[in-house]
Amino acid sequence: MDYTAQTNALRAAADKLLSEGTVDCVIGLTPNEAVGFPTPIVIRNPEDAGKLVWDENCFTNIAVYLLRTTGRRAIAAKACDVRSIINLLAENQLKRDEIYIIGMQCPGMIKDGEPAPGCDQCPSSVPGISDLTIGSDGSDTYQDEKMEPHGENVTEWMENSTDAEKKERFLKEIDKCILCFTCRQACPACYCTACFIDRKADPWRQIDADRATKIAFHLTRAMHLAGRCTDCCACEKVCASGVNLRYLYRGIIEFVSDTYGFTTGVDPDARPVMNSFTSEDSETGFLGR
Amino acid sequence: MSENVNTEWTPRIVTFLCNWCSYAGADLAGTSRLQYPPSIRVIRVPCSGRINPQYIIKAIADGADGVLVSGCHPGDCHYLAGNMYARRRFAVLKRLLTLAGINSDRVHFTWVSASEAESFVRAVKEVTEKVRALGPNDLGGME
Repeated sequence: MDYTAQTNALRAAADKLLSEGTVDCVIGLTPNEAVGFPTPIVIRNPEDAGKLVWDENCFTNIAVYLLRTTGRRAIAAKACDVRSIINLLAENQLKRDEIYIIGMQCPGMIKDGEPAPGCDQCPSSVPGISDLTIGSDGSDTYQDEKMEPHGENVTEWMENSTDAEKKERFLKEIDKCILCFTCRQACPACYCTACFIDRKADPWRQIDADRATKIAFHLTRAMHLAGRCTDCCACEKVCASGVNLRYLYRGIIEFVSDTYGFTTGVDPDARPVMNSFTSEDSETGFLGR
Repeated sequence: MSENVNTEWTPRIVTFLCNWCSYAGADLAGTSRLQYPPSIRVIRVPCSGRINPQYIIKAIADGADGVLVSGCHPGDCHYLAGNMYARRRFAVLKRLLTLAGINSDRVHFTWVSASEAESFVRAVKEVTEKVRALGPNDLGGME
């Protein structure tokens, strides 16, 4: 697929936004020495617009850089980035009028010659909200927006597996982990200034790279992401050890959707699902119910 | 070993009770001289909404055989809605632990009011039997 037109349109848009002073900076991706792995870049001068790139390897979720920059900023965002941005807007971490979303159409990204993690569950090739749209052909209209989610159905897998199988899969992934916390750093939903795992002041929570700590870290992270994870797979894409716990987050997404009818990253005005309740909430699995 | 030693394995069940209903219910069970298995280790918390899911995960990851959480009935929370938030949290946590291969019979949630001593005893008996049937927790454990 040819991305020249889309890259040129993005560069032109960035140049225009910066020259006219609409935004203070543009967040995007730029090629670096690691082929097939563009690196995030924040540009502040119109002359630097040519550094931006848009190709089939732009799988990195750059929404997280909105949390690390200030002022009015534009972002070249594809559908999964925008879902993360919508979640951040819903949680009051960003102001909508400070963010200028350049919505990039994305037919699915490639990582290491294979479809990038997360692309198999993407429902749409276009962002949910945007201020400027750049379609696959470089024009300002999107084409063929629908995508077919075809990834694993975790709920089904859970119902058809024994506890031993589930535990084996979980521990297999856990044992690869070296507790480097790159998943947390890359995650647009993990923005706590003091992560629970870093609070060494409590001796019962000090970081030992033993299995109990890894289990506590990954399960607690999954719990913190409940109703907030948008399945962008930023964590899986950056993991150097190949830990793939996406099925945990995915299973919670399916549970929250089935039980509370909530989908993360759709409505910026929706109240986060774990921060709300109804008197009729399900008590499946509770004692005596 | 002496013949008097009880050789039947008794699980250790970390139990979180809210101060206003369930802890008082457990207290009533004691003052009423109701019998229940000595398997629970009670931790008193202000509200079931105060129970960070991390406490439960940590207990399981560090080798507790089971966890029992009890709070006020929905609608009766001393802090009006703490247990309503907790209910969602517990439902999600239960699904998460199931996904991770931790048998759902290890972690239990229930509501016990201050006057329901018998209900508390029933819950403890039921949870103890379920956890006993599963055997010791071999997931992580302190190394």
